[in-house]
Order: sequence, then C-alpha cells, then structure tokens
Amino acid sequence: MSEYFALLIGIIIGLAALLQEDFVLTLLYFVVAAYALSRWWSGRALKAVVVKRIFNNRAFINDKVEIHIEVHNSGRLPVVWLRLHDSLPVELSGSEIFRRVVGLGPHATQRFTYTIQPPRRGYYQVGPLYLYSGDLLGMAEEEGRQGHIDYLTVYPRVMSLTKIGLPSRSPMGTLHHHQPIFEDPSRVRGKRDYVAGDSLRRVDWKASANLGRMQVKQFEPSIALETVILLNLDRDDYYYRSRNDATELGIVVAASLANWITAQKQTVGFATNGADVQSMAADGRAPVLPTEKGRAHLMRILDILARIQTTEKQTPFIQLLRRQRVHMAWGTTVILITGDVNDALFEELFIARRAGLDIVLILCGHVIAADEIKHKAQHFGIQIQQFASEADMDIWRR
Amino acid sequence: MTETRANTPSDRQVWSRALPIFVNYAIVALMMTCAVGVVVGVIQALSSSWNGAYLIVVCFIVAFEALYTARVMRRIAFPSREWASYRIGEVVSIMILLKALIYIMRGAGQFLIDLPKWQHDFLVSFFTGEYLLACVLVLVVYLVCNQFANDLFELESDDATLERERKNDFRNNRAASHKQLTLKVVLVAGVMIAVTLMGRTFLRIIGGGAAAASIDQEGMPSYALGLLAYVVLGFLLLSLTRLAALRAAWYRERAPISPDIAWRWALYVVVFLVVIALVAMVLPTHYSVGLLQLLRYAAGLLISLLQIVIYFLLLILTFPLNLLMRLLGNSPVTPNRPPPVMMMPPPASPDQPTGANPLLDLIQSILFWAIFLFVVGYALSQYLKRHSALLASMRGIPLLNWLMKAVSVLGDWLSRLSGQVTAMVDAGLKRLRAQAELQARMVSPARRLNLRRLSPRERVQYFYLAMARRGSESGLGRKPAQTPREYAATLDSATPEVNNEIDALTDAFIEARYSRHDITPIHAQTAQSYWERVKSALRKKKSAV
Repeated sequence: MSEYFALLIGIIIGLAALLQEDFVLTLLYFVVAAYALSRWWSGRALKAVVVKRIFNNRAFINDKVEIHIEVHNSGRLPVVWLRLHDSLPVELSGSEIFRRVVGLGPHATQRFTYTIQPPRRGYYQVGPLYLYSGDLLGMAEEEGRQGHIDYLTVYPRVMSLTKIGLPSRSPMGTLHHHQPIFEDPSRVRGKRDYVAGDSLRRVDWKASANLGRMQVKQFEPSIALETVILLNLDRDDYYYRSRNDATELGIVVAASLANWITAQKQTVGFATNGADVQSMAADGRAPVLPTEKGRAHLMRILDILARIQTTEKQTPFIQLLRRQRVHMAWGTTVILITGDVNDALFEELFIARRAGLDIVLILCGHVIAADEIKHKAQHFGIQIQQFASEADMDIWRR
Repeated sequence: MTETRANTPSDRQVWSRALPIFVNYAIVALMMTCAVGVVVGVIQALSSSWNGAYLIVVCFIVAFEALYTARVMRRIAFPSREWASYRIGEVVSIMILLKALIYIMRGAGQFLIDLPKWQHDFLVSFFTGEYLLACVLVLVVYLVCNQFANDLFELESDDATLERERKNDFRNNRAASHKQLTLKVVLVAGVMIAVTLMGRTFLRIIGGGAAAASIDQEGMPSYALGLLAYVVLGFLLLSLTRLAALRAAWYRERAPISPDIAWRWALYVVVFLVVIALVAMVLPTHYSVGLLQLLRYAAGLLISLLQIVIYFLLLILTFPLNLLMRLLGNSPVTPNRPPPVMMMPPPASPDQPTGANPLLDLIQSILFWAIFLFVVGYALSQYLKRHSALLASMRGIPLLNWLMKAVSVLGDWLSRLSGQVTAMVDAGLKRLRAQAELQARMVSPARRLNLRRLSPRERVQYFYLAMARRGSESGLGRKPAQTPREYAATLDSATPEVNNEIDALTDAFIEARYSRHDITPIHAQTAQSYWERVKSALRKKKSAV
C-alpha cells in the first residue's frame, strides 16, 4: 500500500520541481506527515501495551478455569485498534478461544475473562497472547507482538478410596509395631527406675527431680513403615491396543493411592520411568520423590503425574525397581503399577520381598497373561490387583 | 406473522448497514466536488468571463447518483440489453438536465433564442463549447465514481454481508479492493495536481511577467485548498474503508469486536487528518524556490549527462561504419553532438527581499530546510529498511559506511537527547505537581471542611480547635502539656471580655470529646455562638498586636 503513497509523493515532488510551484509543498507536507505519523503512531502505540494474564495455574480435569486478561495502554497515545488472540494447545481446542478486537485510550485498561475446561490431565501451554495493531490509513502492514507464555497443570483424576487391602504385615507408616526393633522417642510408654547401662539420653530429668531418684523413659517400639509407588510408563509393557488408556489408568491409580495414603497421614514416595517435560535430567526422566507426608508432598506427586508422559524403552521398569529398592527401608510397602510382569521382574520382586519389602502389584489395562501372572504372584506371596478400567477401582471404594 | 417479524431487519440493523455506505458515498461525492472545484478554479483563472461554479454542485449530485446507480446496477447482468438501455438512459438524462440547468441559469430568453437554431444545425447549436466542457467534466465524474463504487461495494462489511459470506464460504478480497481504491485516489490526486500546475504555468505564460509575479505573490490559491481538501477526504475514505476491510477479517476470525471501535476510529482519523492538514498549511513553503530550482538544475544535469553517454555510445557504434564509408568514398556518419551541459547558476540563496523581518525569514528558512531534510531522511531510511540487501551492499562502500555510521551516531545522540528532554520534562511536571499538592495541603483544612456534613459532636470539637488555632495565630498557642481548662485560663487572662464564652466553649468541648451521651444540634449551635464571640475578640487582639 505504501508504494502508492510513494508514487503520490514522487508525483508531487516531480511536478513541483518541474513547474516551480511552492504550494505543492503543502501537499507534500501533508502526505509525508500522514504517512510518517501513521506508521510511527501504530508502532509506538503497540509497544506501550502491557498485557497480564491471571489465572489459577493448577486444576483438575473438567474444572472450569477462568483466565483473566488485562490489557493496559501505558502510553499517552491511544491504540486505535488492537487484536488479541490467546493461543491454546490442540488438547484445549474444545474450550473457548479468546479473540478480541478493542480500542484503548491513553492509559486505559480493559479486562476480559474467558474459560477453559481441560478434558484431560496434562501440562498445557497457555499463550502466547498475540497482539496485532496497525495504523488508521493502512499505510503500514499489521504489526504483531507476542505476550508471555503461562502453563496450566491439570491433575489426573483422583478417585476417593475408602478401603484398600494392603498387606497386614505392614500397617501404613508410623503406627504401633509389635516387633521391638526400633523405638520411637516421640512415643513414651512409661518410666522406670534407672539401671546401670541405660543411656543418659533416656533419663527423664523432671521426673527424677520430682521423685528423688533417677527415672528413665520407656518408649513404644515402632518402625517407620513407608509406601513407595512405582509407576511403569514404558509403552512396551502395556498391551498395544489399550496402551493409552492403560497408562492413563495407571496414572489415575497412582494419584488415587497417593491421595489416600496422604489422607491417612502416612508417608509416600513416588518414582516412575516416564518422561517429565519439566525434568532437569538430560534424558527427561521424571524426578524421584522420596517418602514424605503432607499435602504439599501430595501436590508434588500430582504435579509430576499431571506432566508425565510415556516413554519407549528409555528406562526399563526392572531397572527402576532395582535402583529404588536399595533406598527403601525395611518393611516398606512397594506398590508397582504396570501393564505386564515378566519373569525377570518376578525374580526382582522376590528379591525385594526377601529384603523385607511388602509388594503390591497392580495391573492396569488389558493384560494378555493375566491369569499366569496372578498365579505366579500367589506363588511368591505377592498381593495382586487388576484394573481394566476406572470402574474396577470401585472395589477400593466400598 | 412472528416469522415475518423475525426475518425483517430492525431499524438499527438497517441503519448500521446504510450509514457506512452513505458516509462513504458522501465522501466520494465531496472528493469529486473538490476535484471539479480545482478544475473549475483553474479554468476560471484562465478565462475570467466563464463562471462554472454551478458545475461543482452538479458534479456532487451526479457523483452521488453515479454511486447509487452503480450499486443498483450490480443486480443487472453485464453486458445485457437491460444494462445498456439503463446506462444510456441515465447518461442522456444527465446531459439533458445539465443543458436545462444551463438554460435556467441563463434565463428562459436564451432558450427561446437557441430553440430555432437547433432546427438548422442541431449539433453546433446544441453542443456549445461551454456545454461540452460541462458534459466532459460531468461524464468524467460519472465514470470515476463508477470505478470508486465497485471498490466500495466490494469493501462493504455489514453484519448481514459478512454472515452471508461466512455461510456461503465465500469472501471478497477486501485487501485487494482497498489497494485498488488507494491507487484510484492517488491517481486522481496526481491528475488534479498536474492540471493545477499546468494551469498555473499556462497562466504565467499567457499572462506575461506581471501575471507571473502576481501568481508568485498569491501564495496558495483557493483551488489549491480544494486540492488539499481532496487529499484529506481521500485519506478519510481510505481510513474508513480500511476499517471495513479489517472488520471483515475480524468477523471471519470470529473475534468479537468492541462496539466503540467504529466511533473511536472515526474520531481519531478526523482529528489526525485535521491536525496534519493544519500543520501542513502552517509550515513554510516560500523558501522552496531555491530548492525547486536546485531540483530542476539537478534534473537538467542528469539529462545532459545521459545525452553525453548516448553520444559516446553512438560514436563507438558508428566508428566502424565510418571507416567502411570512407573506404566506399561516402561522407562519414556522425551522431549529433550533445547540447552543452546546462550550467545553470546555483539556486539563489534565500537572501532575496522576501519580507520585512530578516530574523523571521531566517527562522522560516531554517524550519523549511529542517523539515525538508527530515522528509528526505525519513523517506530514505524507510526505503533502506525495506531493502536490506541494498543496505548491506552500501555498508561495503567505505565512504557510505562512514556516513551511515555518522548518521547512526547522530540518531543515537538525538534519541538520548530526546530521552533526557523527556526525563527533564517529566521531572519538571512531577515537581510542579508536588508543589501544587503541597500548596493544596497548605490551605487550611478548615477552609475545605463542610460543616454541614459534620455531626454535632464533631462540630463542637471543630469550634474548639478553631479557637485554639485562632489563639495560636494571636500568640496564645496551646502548649502540648496543657489541659483544655489550663488553656482556657490562659485565654481568659488574655481576653477577659469573653471569659464566659471561652469557659463555656471549653466545657462544651470536654463534654463532646469525653462523654458518651448524645450531643444535640442545639449544643453545637450554642458552641458556634460562643466561638464567634471568641473569634471576634481574638481578631481584635491580633490586630492590636
């Protein structure tokens, strides 16, 4: 478009030079000023636009997430028109797409809200917000600018579980234990008179002063029994026809179990061979979360479960188990969520069991040799559960 | 019945569709009026006996009619019999009405005189020189408007049209139409400028030296204002049609459009164009004589150089031919020598006697050259920005590279200077604002207090505090450690004539300040009466001091 105005300017200058007419310069001033100011205005006005996106960056599936967009013109020049377009990933394409065309006066602010409803778990990029503006006369091309990118973490579905038949030998967490291997100094059972050989750390100085003779504290025997969830996300370990559903089901089971264990005020750890988009590791594997308790820790687990993706033969599940087993305390309950169990894995599970770990196997999706696996698990004394769909988890909800 | 209502567009919809069309047509009609005004102005300047002012009005009406008809005619297939009959009928009607108008202006007598002549030699007597000129002007307007109408129709973007396009999965190429429209506006402007300039030049030639001097002294002629008005209106039209094109694009993207965009756009574009037009009219043009001479001199030099080059090329080409001719005994062929280079004297410096005030002349001159250099610099920078390869190759030339670096340094310096000036202005404004706020704060809060809005309790407290303030102004300020009664004793000793009032006001204050029971308005009125008496006593004391 600007070439036509260049043509006009050329005509004016040429004729003015040829015919020596001064008044044509007025026209020249007008056209050049219109051209220059028009371009300058649109470019400068767009630079002064500040955009803010405010939203709750964590949500559950099908939650309605309101995204508030604030557009502020920090400059003194008005923005004649501003086209806004917030880009969303394909997975969220079913949600409302934010597009607006507005005009902004000097120092004016406009706020908009749109809603997205994530249909599945994930770590979604929200943005960038594209801003386009232009001039009044169409002399300059549309100018664009990108806003910042935000991320929305959508947690997997968390089923509310009520009754989980975990091995009775390992009551969850720091509960009373009948085997006096360790004593818990926070659980005072009573006091007795001091006898030679008692540790001075056990002396109850207040009680000794009160009674006039040395008293030592007696502690309840206990052991920190922990639960570690190991999730297999190697695609090859799932039946190929139901791979996607089975891995998603595994994630739902892991999230639900972590939620239930945390609700029981017990410690839970988590490890997987899946890939995490936010991983610091070079191979992109998800971080291992050591056993801890509390809501914050549960949210960390859910964060990983939201972002996690399946891998192909990156880290075999058996290798993950081997690597994690050495860090597990005696009596730890290990919940393995997988789509298949081969003999090598059974062998590793047997070793783990002999090392004092309680094993719970959860098979997700369609498993071809399910009966054989169940038979072997019974043989090794391993508790096993199979879920073909989320509905099967109802046995833990009754 | 209900269905009929649902399908009938509301008044608002009709208006929202018709208004932009009407505005666009009105602008085009006005543009054509300006264009015709310019031509009429030039012709009138050449032939002072001719009065063609009526043509301006006629062309406005014809332009509107042509635009409307072009819209209606889109329904009729082209080429077709119906189309041809409609068009011919329309043109003939316009020409007849134009003739009738001329006779109305001349009077019925002229018509009666001319009527018998038509029978003898119709063509000569009917198509007079004036009538032919008017017809040509009107037909040109008619044709140009038809051209504009096509683009305007393509650019229409009311909701109904856009919805229809969306449903039929069809879209007008509005960007191309807008480009076409721009080209047409520019071409018409170019033609108008050419006509104006040629008219003036012709006027100079036929008028001789005196006429040329009077033209030079005239400055901007009235029809040049018409030219400027045409360009302003053209820009307005381009702006509004750009909005239409953008609107269509936004609609296609299903982007909700803020309802205030249209009026904001109209407001901004009008302000923008009016401001630029005013600035352009104010800027100096008198010192352009030197510049334009310089440009002509440069053009002449360039043409002469080209002629020399062509001469040498021809000389080289004809050399073997000459040799052949010499062998055959014929005279050699020599190309015509180029004319000597037009060594015009350099343009006269603007120290010619142009005005009474040399300082004003100097300022105008500096302003002119600054603006001109800015325009040239800006145009060059824009051009180079678009041709990055050329820019890169230019950097390879040492002198140009040095020059570009110098320009870049100058640009940086100017940018820094601009930043510093902006910062200084901001700081100054901030300081002024702070001073204004301080002054506002310095004004006694009592003066800004609205007593009617205070409760009776607050009013009593206010009167007491006012007494304390007046006391301090009279040199009887209340010490921080003084209780109200101690302070009352101090005031009593200084103004014994209002002892009772001071004590009563102090008691009222203590009651208002420390009691929990209600303070009635009567209490407040009583306190006010005490305060007024104390105030007059304190004022007397202050004036005595």
